[in-house]
Amino acid sequence: MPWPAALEWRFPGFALAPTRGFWWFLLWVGLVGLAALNTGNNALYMLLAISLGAFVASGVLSRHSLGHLRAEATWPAEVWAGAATRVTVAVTNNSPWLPAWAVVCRLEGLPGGTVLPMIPPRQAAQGVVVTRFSRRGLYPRPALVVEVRAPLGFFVKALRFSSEGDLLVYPQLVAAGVPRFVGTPQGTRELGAGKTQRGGEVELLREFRPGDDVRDVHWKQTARQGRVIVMERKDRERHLRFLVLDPHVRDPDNPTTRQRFDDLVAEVASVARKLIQQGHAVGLVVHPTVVPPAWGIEHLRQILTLLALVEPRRGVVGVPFSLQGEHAVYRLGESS
Amino acid sequence: MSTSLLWQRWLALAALAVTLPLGFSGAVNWLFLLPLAGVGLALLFSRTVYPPLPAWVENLLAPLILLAALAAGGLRFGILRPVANLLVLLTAVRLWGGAPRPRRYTVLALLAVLNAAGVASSTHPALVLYLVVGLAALTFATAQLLPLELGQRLGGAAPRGQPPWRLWLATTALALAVGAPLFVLFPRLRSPFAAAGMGARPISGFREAVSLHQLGEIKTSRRPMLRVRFPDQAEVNPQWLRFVGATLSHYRAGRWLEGRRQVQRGDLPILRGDQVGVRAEFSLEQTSDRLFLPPGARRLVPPEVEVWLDGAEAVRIPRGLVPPIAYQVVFDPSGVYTRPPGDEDLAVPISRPALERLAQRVTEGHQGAWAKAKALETYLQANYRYSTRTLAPLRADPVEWFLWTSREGHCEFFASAMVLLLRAQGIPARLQTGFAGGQDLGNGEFLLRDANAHAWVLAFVNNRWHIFDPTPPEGQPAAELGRSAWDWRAIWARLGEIWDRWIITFSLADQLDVLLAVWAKVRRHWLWIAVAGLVALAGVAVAVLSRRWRPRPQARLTLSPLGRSLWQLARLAGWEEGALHHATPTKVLETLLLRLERSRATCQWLFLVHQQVTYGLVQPPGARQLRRALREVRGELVAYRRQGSTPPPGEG
Repeated sequence: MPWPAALEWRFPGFALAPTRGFWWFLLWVGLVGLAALNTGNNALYMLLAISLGAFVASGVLSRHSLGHLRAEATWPAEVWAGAATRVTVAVTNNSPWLPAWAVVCRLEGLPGGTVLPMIPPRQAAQGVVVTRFSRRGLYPRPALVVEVRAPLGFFVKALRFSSEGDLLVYPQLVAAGVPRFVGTPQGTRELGAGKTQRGGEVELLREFRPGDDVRDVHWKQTARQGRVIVMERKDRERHLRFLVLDPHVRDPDNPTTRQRFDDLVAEVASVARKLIQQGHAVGLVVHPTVVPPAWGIEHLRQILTLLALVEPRRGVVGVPFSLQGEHAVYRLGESS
Repeated sequence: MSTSLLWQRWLALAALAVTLPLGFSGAVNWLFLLPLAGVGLALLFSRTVYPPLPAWVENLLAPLILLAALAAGGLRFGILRPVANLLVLLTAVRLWGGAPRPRRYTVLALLAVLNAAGVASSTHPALVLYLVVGLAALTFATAQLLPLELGQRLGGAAPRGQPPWRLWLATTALALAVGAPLFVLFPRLRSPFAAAGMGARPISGFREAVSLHQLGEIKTSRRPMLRVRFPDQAEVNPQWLRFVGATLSHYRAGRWLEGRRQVQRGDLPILRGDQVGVRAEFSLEQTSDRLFLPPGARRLVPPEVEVWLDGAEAVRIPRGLVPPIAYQVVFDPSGVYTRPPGDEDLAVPISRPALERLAQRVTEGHQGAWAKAKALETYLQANYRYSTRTLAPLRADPVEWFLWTSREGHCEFFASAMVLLLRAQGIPARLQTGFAGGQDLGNGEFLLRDANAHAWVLAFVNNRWHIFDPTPPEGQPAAELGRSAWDWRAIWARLGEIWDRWIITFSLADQLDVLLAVWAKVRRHWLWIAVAGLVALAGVAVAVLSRRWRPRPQARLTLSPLGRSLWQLARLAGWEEGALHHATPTKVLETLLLRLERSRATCQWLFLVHQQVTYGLVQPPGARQLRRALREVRGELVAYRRQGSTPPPGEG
């Protein structure tokens, strides 16, 4: 932010809130002022003057401190609803002489925060804000709020650093059991040359190719040979499995229904993750969208993205198409 | 150290600090301050956080505290003293176990009230040091406790450490810089609802009506009261430093007072007196309802207000005049001018036989009124002790109590006793109160303070009035004469005088004088001030603009070793330092992968590890493994650079 912004009385993103200490200070100043005026006692005037001087000094220095702070938040690659999300915040103090003391970093609208005890002048400090999204979905990236109270804590002065873009929060992971799949099992072999899937026996070792799962990296050989070596696993017949999520409910506006639907989605997401981690090919059907069965982390993300964004809707469920392969259907009991 | 322990120690330190002004100013008896100081010391050096006292213990202490306040005099000496005593003891009780959250705010409030009371009672220059150190300590404490409280509230680790010295030093300095002009500019308007005296003031100073029962323990006040200058005299006789406020003849039940039955207005004789004598210029530094004149005052040039004489032969002026109040007097140094003696000057309303016996015994062998008076004066000086702590019981007459029981007291007791003893011998006598002694300021000028208030005796001997002072020498206000200008005591006294003049007694008139003087200077030198202002403004503009144009060094980010290595890889790939500060790891990785073929996986692995380590998910891999991976990626990037040109990251 260029220097003229520091001269503005209010600059973008600035917020001010009095603390309890401010109200007590106001009472103190009122009483001392009244006593001084009533008695003409110069010692009380001195006390009043120094109190007000401290108030002004605290305001000026905290304003200076806040005006020279810049902050940036780094989000993790995956954010899960209900799980602790660790966000790294980096705060830079551009003041040439004044350290920033007791800087609080929060995420707007989210719980949690962290205190950076001291940021020396012209230096930066990092901290981790552990927060939690209560619900899945697509959110505008929360702004980072930096608060300063020092030196005397009369006001909470905050500066808001907004971030562009959205943040996708995956459904909550729960302890879900693998369902009983119904339908005729359908198998498949390796999908395309060069793609190996986890789960089979190790057949050979070869050099890493783009697209390989990093979990198949053979670290010992890699260290020995000085290049990335992966394990190619034996093909095996894999079954195509579908998880079918029925989004139709009787009353989608009912909060209880929405909560139950979210729980259902969490279960589906957890099952999908578990199956894919076990090496199964899993597809997802959320009417009318169909994600064909596949493997791998990218496929899992695709499924999770769909589940993160699905919303309940009013209606009656129907079988969307003839599923080839085993499937397990998840629906709320009230839908009809 | 836990947050609670830190709170406990800071509260203890605050309590100890609060005892200083309260004790030294005399606002609270030292005995009452001992519990507070004791609790403060115990908590300050303790390593454990004490819980509050059980409720039944506090309930038990409550009546004891009340009894202590009553034993100290109760309401006998006014309401403020017992209230202050009660507050001090209450604070001592609440301070114990005052660290926990809801209780600490009560303790803070009590300490704040006591601090204000102590400051209000102080007139010593050390008050400035006390306030400055107090402010610095408050800033330090707040800066230390704030992050701990925030850390607890946010649920994370409570950050600890010493606040940066620049922060609390800057706060203190800025507070003083702002507070000083505020002190000058605050309007010195006495409220029409100014609290009247709520009981006798237990500090030294002139009182119109002398009430021996209510004096109690007197604390010396350094408040300046009167300035006297003898402009025509090369040397000043210390005997001249005695100025009358009231002449009292009637004594009843421990009180000396005069009624207003003899008010004389209009053309007072003293306004037309001859001008033969010593000339003195007076300046009253406090609001007053009377002028203080030498006993031998012949002519008075009063201030430009109505003056009149009251029953105590005091020259009265209207109350509410804004000090300093200036007037001039010409006086006869050897004379005492007062009305002739009357029956009231021989009245002995108490224990006449006992007084007669005592006076007879003392004056036995002395012939003549003068010798008898001197004998009585000497007897009282030699056989009675001067003390400012006198608690005359209500049931007894204070003069009798002084003469036969306590045998100690201050000047009013001595003077009252001598007056009554003289009257018992048939010698007309009166009590005079006013000021005596004073601090030599040089150039024939003297400063008298509240502590210079005094009482002495007028005895009608050999057909004229004479002054006698039966107070022992240690109780008589001294005249400090002839100090060298470079004597360190004189320097300190001079500083004290400046403090008293421009801080303690800074009044509305002084304010106006200061503002008018500043305005006059501005008007006289407006051109130079304008030029200086423009130069200063230009200097500030140049400094600010040069800072803007100068490339600002980038703030140093704290990076892990792996982070630094990846930073270097990014620079190798063509990233600018400034752009890197705003780039995300994902973005950097994308651009690196465009330049890599063989070591793409390695590069991905490096960034994945960095991400995991940053979030604390894994331990960093071995240094050897990292070095090998970095070498591989770095080698390919260098080879890529040598080959050809692609747009730097972020462009195209």
